[in-house]
Amino acid sequence: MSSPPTTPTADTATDSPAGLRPRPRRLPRLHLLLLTALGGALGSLARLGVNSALPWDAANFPWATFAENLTGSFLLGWLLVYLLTPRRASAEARAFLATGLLGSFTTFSALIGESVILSDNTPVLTGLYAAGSVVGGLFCAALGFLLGRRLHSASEGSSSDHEPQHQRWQDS
Amino acid sequence: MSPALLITLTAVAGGLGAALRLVLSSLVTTSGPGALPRGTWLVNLLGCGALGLLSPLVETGLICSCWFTILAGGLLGAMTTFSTWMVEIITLAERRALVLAAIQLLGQLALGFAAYFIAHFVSAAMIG
Repeated sequence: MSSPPTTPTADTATDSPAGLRPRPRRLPRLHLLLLTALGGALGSLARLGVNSALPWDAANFPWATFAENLTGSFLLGWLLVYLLTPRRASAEARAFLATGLLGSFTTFSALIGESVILSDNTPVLTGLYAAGSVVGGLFCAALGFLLGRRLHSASEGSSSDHEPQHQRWQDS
Repeated sequence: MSPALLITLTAVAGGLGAALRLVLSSLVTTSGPGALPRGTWLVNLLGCGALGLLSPLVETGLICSCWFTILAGGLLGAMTTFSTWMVEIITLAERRALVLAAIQLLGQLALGFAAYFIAHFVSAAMIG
């Protein structure tokens, strides 16, 4: 995937390898912000739904957040290299699905907060939960990349895309 | 608070949180293969700090648990993100930037706990 011609600026001139599209520092456009908010509202609703289905009582393993973070990591990895590549998807689709929906469905604050509360009751579970979330999350994201690239190559009829296609750090 | 209102407010708070994440990330992000992605640091540490401030209010009964669902579950849950953090670490590792990947992983996790504890301490002290 080649990067589009960019105007060299102080920000981008130093580091712009192929496949990485540097972005000048500026505020997001309004319609992208609104699409992110819409996706975020839906992602939060979905998380609320999972939390209600798997209630947590502060003494047991927080399965709800664990499941949300792992599935969200897999789906984000998969989407970014398969459906949401800059060639295939619009900035609007990325704002809604990646930044909004999956960014909000997964959560960092609950992971930390629940770990601390767990440490009051069952310290062993704290380590298991924090480490398990991170190791499981990394595994799921990597798996998502792997499967997404395979599908992407199959559908494009080429296997040339080995570079990570997560082009914009702030995408979600 | 009725369940319908609670669900609606949580969704609205989640939308605000996601928009806030996009704006905050755009303030600090400079892309580059040799740089740490800074967006997740800002939103995740801010979110943990805010959760630490909020928690004593619920623990002491100053606000009802429904507001914890809306603010902690909706707003802060959506403002912080786990999936992007994971994808960033995998991307750094794929670029063989293993030191950066380790900093991104362990640093953000450790400082997330630190932000929560400091904010919780301050908040509990102010409540008295």
